[in-house]
Amino acid sequence: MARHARFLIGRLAGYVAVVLVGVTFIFIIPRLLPVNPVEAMLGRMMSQGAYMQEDQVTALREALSDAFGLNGTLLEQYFGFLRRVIFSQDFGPSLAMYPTPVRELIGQALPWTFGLLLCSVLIAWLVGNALGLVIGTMPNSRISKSLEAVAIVFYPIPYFILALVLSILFSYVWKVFPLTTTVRGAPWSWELLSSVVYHSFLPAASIIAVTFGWWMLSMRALSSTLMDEDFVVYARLKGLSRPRILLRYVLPNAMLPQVTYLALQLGLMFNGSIIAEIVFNYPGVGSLIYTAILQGDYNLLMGTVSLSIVAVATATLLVDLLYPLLDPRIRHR
Amino acid sequence: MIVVDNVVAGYRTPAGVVKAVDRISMEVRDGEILGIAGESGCGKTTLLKLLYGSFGDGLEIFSGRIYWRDPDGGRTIECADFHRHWWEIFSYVPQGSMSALNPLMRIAPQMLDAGSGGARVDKTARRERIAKTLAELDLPERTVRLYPHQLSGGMRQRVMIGLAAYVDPDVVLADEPTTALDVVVQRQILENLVRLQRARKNSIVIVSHDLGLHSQVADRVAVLYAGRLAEVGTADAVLRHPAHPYTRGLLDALPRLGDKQPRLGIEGRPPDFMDMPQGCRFHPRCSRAIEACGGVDPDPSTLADGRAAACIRLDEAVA
Amino acid sequence: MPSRLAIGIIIVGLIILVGPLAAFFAPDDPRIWQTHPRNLRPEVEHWLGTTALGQDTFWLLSWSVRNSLMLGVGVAALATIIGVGVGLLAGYRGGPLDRVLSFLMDALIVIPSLPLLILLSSMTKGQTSLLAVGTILVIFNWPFPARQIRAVALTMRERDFVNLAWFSGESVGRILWRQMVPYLRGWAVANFINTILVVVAIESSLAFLGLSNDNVPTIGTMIYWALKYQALIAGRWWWVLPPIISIILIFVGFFLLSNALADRMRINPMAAR
Repeated sequence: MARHARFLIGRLAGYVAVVLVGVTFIFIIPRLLPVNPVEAMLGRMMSQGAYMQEDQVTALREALSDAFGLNGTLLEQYFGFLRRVIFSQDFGPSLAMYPTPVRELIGQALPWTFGLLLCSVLIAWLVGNALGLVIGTMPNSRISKSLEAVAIVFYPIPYFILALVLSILFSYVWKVFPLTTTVRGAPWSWELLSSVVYHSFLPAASIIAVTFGWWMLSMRALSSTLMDEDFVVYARLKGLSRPRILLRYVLPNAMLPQVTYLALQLGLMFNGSIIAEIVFNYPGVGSLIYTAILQGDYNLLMGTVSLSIVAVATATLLVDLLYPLLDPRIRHR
Repeated sequence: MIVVDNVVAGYRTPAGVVKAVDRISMEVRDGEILGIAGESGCGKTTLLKLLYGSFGDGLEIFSGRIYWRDPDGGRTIECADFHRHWWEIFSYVPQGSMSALNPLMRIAPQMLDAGSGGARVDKTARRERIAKTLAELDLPERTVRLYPHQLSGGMRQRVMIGLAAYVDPDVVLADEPTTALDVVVQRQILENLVRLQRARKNSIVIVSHDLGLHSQVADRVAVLYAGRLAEVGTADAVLRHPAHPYTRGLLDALPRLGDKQPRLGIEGRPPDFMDMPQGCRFHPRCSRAIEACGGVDPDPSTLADGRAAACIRLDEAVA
Repeated sequence: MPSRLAIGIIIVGLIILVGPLAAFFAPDDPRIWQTHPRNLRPEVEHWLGTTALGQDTFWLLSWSVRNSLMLGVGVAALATIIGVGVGLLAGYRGGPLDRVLSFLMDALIVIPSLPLLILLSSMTKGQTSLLAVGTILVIFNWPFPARQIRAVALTMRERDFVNLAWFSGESVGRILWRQMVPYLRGWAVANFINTILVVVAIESSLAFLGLSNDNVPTIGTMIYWALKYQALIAGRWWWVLPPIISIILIFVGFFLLSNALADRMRINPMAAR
């Protein structure tokens, strides 16, 4: 049992450290720029015609500096920031949608992104692996070659291009899907659910199309190598049926590296979902980030970016912890 | 009993037809341990696959016939149908038992599912038999619940033997069962094999290049060279008084305790299947070759003590 | 059906022709606005028409492709050099140094780069120096080659032929170089190309969001400007489509190339990223 505890602690320590590194990045980057966000905001406000007296400007500058966490020495700011991110998750009020707290906005957007990502990742992973298993163990059929060709065409295309193309094709040229997301229906009614699915279809499709190719091609390589392994050859000599060999001998062994790869890919898939949400006006965290950019909403931006990093790190940790459950060689002795 | 009747078998490659087994006739008799010996590449693994009826890798029988005959009744099964009876009449111990087990499955399910192409298997009966067999092999009862990586090399090898034996088949085919094991474990494995066979009275076919192994366990030995049968007979006869020059050469090359001088190997190397010598395949390396050897590729001819050897200079050879 | 290698080479050749090479021959600086009449359809004088800002679309495209590729190649080269160096260090030295470096590599791989880049560029909207973007991309991309090299270096430590070379007096550096290079050739090419693609993708994504540098034309900024000026709604396809198609071609072409090259050198291209 001590071994398991050590493994867990090790992984958790790594997780905490990664989050710290990420959050430190978030802390450092804005401070590297010559632009002081407070002055920038004040400048913007003035140029938009607001007239304020000296002491009002000073008071505002104080308040904004406080809100941005820019008071005190660098070290004080750092720890203040850490405290806010990790313990209270309080990023202050959204500057564009004042006084709604950032936390609330994120809370509304999060389920959308979570749902989209979860479904897309699952579908891409499952379908990609299933197809990969099939073509890996039947290398020369025509289905294999055509699926491979499809994967090779889609896999290299960057997310936003595919999202853009899909958007152009299905929202402009053939007006099948709407340009914006307005969901109708009372919570959990059938109308609501089908409306959600309708609006989620394109963003999910763009993410799935680009990612499933990778899973399929890597699974194909894995399973075709496995077919030559001693224990698979012996399984055939034992007279086992092909489905059984694939399901109990090839697939579990191929899944292990695939789970590892999943952990590595989560960050990339998250990048993609941000773009997809923006292109399709999907009300998730990605769109929130975009809004924050357009409106110069510093608080919202810090909040969403911090969340992104923590979310991806957490998901990676979970997948990491999943691995020992699947590989008895790590669990026992 | 398995009968091999003048069989030519091999593979079609882009470079031509490779006859890995070229006109071999022999039998695997009921209740015997038969050893198949020879250097690497002599065709012994192909012969084993033929005996097992495993045609997966493009192996083809070009001519001749292989069939199994029931020791009790007269029913016969043709080689092409052997696979329907895997783990019922036939079973197999593969080379390299270290990696022949699925690392992600416990031992029990891997043993239970053998031969279950048809999927209707009596699990309870099998479990009992597995328990009994593993006990005979001196494996602790909890072995079935473990994963392969939790067993030592020797234990895994015994599991493979147990796997092949528990269904009580008529013929067990073993491919180099002791290669890559240390001597102590080798001995244990052999003892186990023999013990199981004595109890069940089935036949075992062991393919190995190790003549020492054959001398310990085999009842009869068949020596292959370049796809042809060089000599076959009782282990005692073949290994102590070899009739064929090749067998003699193999035995002469074995070191013994108390050797004062270096042992002589056999000059040259086995021929390429694409480039067979004319006549007797061994004659280019044979110390007793005469001119006539280049003209005739002899079939084994029977000697007085019941064994057969393929050499035209036999009468002089028997010591 | 021509081989993947052939198709890849043809596409990449086309890209290089239209992009970096062609940019040498542009008559005017395509970045300058109002050089030509606006919104012209494709014709003999302007092969892809002109934009709403009075730029010749074709030459703008060629400059954009050139800039995008330059950024990609530059970042890939730097990231690979750093990655190989760190990987060798970590793998061959081992010990606490390896532990620290490995942790750093894993951390940088887990953390998604796009949100950080968005954070950076949003502060300097439209004025982000490509140098800054490039630097961050190098920081987030060197771990990929580093991990691979480290893994190979670790096994190299134990390998017999390395020990043999060491005992016969060769220096560690030369050993590593001569023994590892043949092993890694195919993989290195695939990884290099993949990194170029990743950089082009991220820079284009940023530009598309309006976060890249408005003054330096890249494929992404071209799309951004086109959409900003309603090219889509106004049906001015000659401004919007060429950059999109050229990105697709860049990706598919380079990928086919890297795939075919990796196949030739018999390394699993999936392992590169």
